[in-house]
Parts: sequence; structure tokens; C-alpha cells
Amino acid sequence: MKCLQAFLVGIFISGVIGGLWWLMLVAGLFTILVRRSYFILSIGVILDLWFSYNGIPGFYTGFFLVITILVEYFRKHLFWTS
Amino acid sequence: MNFHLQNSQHNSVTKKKVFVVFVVLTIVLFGTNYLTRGSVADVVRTPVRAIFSINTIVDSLIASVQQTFARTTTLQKNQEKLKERIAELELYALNNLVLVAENEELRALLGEENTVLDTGTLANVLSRGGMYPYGTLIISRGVDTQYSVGSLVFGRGDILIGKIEEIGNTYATVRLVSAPTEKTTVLVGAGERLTELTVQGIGNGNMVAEVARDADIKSGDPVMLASRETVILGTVQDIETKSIDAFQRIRVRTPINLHTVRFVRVR
Repeated sequence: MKCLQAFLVGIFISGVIGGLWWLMLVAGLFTILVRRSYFILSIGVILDLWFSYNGIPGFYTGFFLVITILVEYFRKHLFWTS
Repeated sequence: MNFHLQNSQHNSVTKKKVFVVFVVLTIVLFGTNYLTRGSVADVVRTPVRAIFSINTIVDSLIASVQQTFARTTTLQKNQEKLKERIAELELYALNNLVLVAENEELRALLGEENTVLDTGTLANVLSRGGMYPYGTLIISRGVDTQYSVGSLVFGRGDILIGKIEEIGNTYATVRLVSAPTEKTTVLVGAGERLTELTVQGIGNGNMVAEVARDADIKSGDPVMLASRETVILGTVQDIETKSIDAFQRIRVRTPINLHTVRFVRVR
């Protein structure tokens, strides 16, 4: 699982450097599905600060936070893992 | 004998606390950034130059490897084509100079106040691509450079790509005309076929607009900003018409590749 997460984080970083927002979202989503990742959440925050033009919490922060909360909720209630 | 259960419950509570702390810190960070008018974003953008220079270095490495393996004959053919293209562009640039001089002369004759054409300030593009869904570029700003919010930003060939939205100490944020939900009033066509309409950005250099079905618009028509100066945004790429609709949907695309643009002009 750690290798899979590392692989997905690598794809995520490639997406960030290459400017491929769709690849970032997909890789970030699957990384969070495997395991909660503060690295992905932090990069989302940094990207929103980077590209947004009025500092309002944005797309990437919201997307990754919502995914994390949903995944944790379903993981706990459906699979009884924390 | 419930040590394992207690331990897992403790871990679960700790993880929840860490997550809540992270969310609170994020909200505080964005709130501070908003209240201080982007000073936190300014600090975050400091490593932009270093990180995106990695992209440029990788691009140049790949290009050099490709060149090494390219066949000689292919290179020779490409060289011939490039020489022809350079000759064409030299003529085009010469015509352009003549037109600029003629423009200045005509403006002087008409008694215009500003007879000197403002070519603007050159700026480096630090992050390219207009990351969805913001549709923004980050450009450099020198200490003495006077940018103002609303200044127009032009790419190669004086094509309008956006306007300055936010100014930091050493950076400025450009909102692209093709940014999602960005609306721009434009003129399409030429001469008697000139039509005014509003285009809406959908990202990645593309814009769409709906116009009456009887409007005389053709694929390839130039799209210009509705202003006193002739400022080109792009060209009409595609027109979609359905027999049941009273409108036709036109798609406009900028000729500038937003993923490879390196320099822009601000004025």
C-alpha cells in the first residue's frame, strides 16, 4: 500500500509540475482513497494560494478536503476501519 | 485485555484531532491571506521560479536528446523549411513596421493626443497553462515596473491574453480572457459583417458565445476586443447550428499556446 501511495504521489507531483490539473485531481483522489495524505491536502492549499487571485479558499482545497472527509466516513461506517 | 481496542480508539481520536487542526490552520491561512490582501500568497509564490524552472530544464533536456537521435536528412529538411519560414516572417515584420509608422502618421494627422504607440513592459511568465479552474498566469514584476490592476496583457503578435487581476511585490496575477466564467465584449468579423457579442471563457484558451442565427459570422473571422484600439483575442474556430435553435454557438480560440508562452507584454 505504501508503494502504491508513493507511486500515486509521484503522479500527482508530475501533474503539478506539468500543469495537468486533471491528472492532479485523479492522482490526488486515488492517493486519498488509499490513505489520508496531508501532503496532498497541503499541496492543494498551496495551489489555491498560488493561482487564485483574491485569496478566497478554492477549488483544490475544497476538493481534497471533501474527498478526505467522504472517504474517512465511508471507510469507518462501511469497512469499520479508522 | 482490551489494550488493542483502547489503542486503536486512541489512534482514531488523535487522527481526528490532527485533521481538525489542519482544517483550522487552512482556514486561518486563507483568512490571513484575504485580510492582508495576498501577502501570504506572495510568500508562497517565492519558490515559483525555482519549481517551474525544473519544467524548462526538463523540456530542454528532452529536446537535446531528441535532436541527438533525429536523422540527418530529417534535420536538413526541417532546416530548409525553417529558412523559408524565416524569410516569410522577415517580410511580415517589415510590413508590420511600415504599418506602425503609417498608423502613427495617421493618428498625428487626425490630431490624436497619444501619437506614440505604447509597446508596454515585457514580463516573464512564471507559471503557465492557466491552471483550471482559475484561468490565471503568474508573471514577474520588476521593482520599478508600474503595473496597475486592469492593465492588458498581450502575447506573441500582440494577441490579448488577459488582464492584470492582482499585483504583489515581485509578481502579478493575470486573469486570462479564456478563464472559466470570464465574460468579454468583443467584435467579430470585419467591415460590414462586424458583429458585437459577449464571449465566455471555458478554459485552455477557448471561449464560446451564442449569437442570433442570422448573424453573418464565418469560421476564421477575427475576434477583437470592443475598444478604441484594434486588439485581437483570437479567431472563430467552429460554428454550431441546430435546426431547432434560434441561436448559433460559436467557439473562439486564442492562437497563443498558454502551455508554452514564456514572455508577455503588459500595457
